[in-house]
Amino acid sequence: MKLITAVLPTAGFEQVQQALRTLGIPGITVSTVMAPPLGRVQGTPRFEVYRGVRRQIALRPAVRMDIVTTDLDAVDVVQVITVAAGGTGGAVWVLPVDTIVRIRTKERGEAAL
Amino acid sequence: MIPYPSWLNSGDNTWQLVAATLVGLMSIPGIAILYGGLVQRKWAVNTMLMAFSAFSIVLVAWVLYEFKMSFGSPLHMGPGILRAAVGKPGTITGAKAEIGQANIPLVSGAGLMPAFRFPQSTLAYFQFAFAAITPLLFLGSVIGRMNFRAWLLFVLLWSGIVYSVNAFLLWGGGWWAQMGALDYSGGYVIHLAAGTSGFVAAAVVGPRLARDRARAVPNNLPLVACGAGFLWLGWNGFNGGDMYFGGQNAAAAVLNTNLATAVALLAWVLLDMFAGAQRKPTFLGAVNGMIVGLVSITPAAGFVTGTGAILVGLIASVLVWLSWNKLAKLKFMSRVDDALGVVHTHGVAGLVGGLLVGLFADPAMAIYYNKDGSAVSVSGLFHGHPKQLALQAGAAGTIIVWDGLMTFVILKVIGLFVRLRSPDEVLELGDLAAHDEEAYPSEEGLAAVGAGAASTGPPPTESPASAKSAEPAAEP
Repeated sequence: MKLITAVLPTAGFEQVQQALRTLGIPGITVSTVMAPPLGRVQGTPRFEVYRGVRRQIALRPAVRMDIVTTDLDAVDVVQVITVAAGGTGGAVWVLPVDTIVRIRTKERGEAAL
Repeated sequence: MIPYPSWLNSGDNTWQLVAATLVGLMSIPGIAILYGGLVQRKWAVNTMLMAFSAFSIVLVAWVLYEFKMSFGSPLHMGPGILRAAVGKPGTITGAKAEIGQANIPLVSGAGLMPAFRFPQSTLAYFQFAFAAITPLLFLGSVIGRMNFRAWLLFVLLWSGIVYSVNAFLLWGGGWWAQMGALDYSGGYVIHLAAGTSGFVAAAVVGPRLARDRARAVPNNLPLVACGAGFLWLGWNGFNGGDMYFGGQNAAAAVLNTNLATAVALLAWVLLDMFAGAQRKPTFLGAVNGMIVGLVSITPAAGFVTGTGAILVGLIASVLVWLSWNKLAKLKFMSRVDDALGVVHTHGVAGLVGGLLVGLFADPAMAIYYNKDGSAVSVSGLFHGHPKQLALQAGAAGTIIVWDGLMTFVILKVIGLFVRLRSPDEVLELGDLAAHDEEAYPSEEGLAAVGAGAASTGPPPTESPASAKSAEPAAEP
């Protein structure tokens, strides 16, 4: 099994989620994180000025998605995310997963997906 | 020594200044934070800045030429309505204009009301607060995409060209006032005007980004509660000040205003609970109902009885609820992106309230008294004066046509010189791109640069690549 993590600019998240839903991927955990400015629009250096003090924006709110899939599906999911987020940018990476337990049903491993 | 001249009454002057301040608080901070909380998080700063800026623009224009255009001597431009449609522009910055007795040449000097008992500066400031809140109300239609520069020009021109005519026609003793059309406190001059102009402006400026329209969630409901509260209680000055004296009719207007508002709020909540799509009461629904009550009683406040006020609040709330939930779904309505639905809560509500004056205005509600003790009052259809309803409809038609047409023309002209809608790059980021500010900035995400920065770490310099990509996104 694989853990797929994607960090996307907020603007690109919706298309990705839509694409994954079309693909039939149900299990997805989303969190708001801070990341270096991502993508085309956010990537331009931006500044904020409060009471005369100018500060460069080093981190921006971004969306982080965590998905656990079978080894077989992982390739497709990464491909879908890459295509769907193509217009906005971001990053996606894959890690191996030892085990997974669905607490309510006590199912383990791929049965729990 | 004596503190003030004999025509001045300190009670009337005090009430008028308090009422004016209450109306001002409805704009700043009332509307600023109501709208600031209702918009998406990324537009809160832009919305509040537009509100504060418009408030300032109107005051400067007001004392330089606009007060005289709204409440001065008529500018004779032709026959009929053109004979008394707008006043001659002029300043009110001199000592005499500020200290002298207030006067509206066609009204107070013409024996239609008692002579004012406060100075011109009190009248000017009181009426300024009304002139200022009107553009702030239709700000709700164009937020989330209108270019800040275009907004400044729009407010300046709209206020001088459109508002002054509205006010002169109904309050400055202009043609519709002479015909007998009634607007106690701005159901037409302000709310119908804001609803109409906002809707037309939203159509001309164009919609927000499709994604923003689809995800237009408010960023701060407690802030909305504060703004809505300022509006409600501020309305005591809005409607309580428009008889110009701290008298019996002002007191009745204040009570009626609150009564209609309470009824309208409850009616909207009950409609949401028993007829709405979700069958649940909502806070933002309650705020809508509150605004509808306040707006609809505005043209009627001191003309109707308490019973009339209850009926006005109830009828308006039901009609605007239908307009909001049914009419808004029609294609031609949803094509126009009236962001906060100003055309419903202000346009339709103001129109309904104005027409209901033509039905419920009660002659027993004394506004002023003649020397012989008889009451000066008005009456509607249900009190034997059907013509009043026709007058109310005629005045409403004039406001809708004039405001709609001129809003269109003004924006088209501004659009020749300044872009009305910010570029998409700005719209995607919102406040950050337009103002270099955010409503809720993150402390962690910022690294100080320049003179105010702490001397830790190398100062980030703009790389050649980033300088090259300097797009018009930085333009407000």
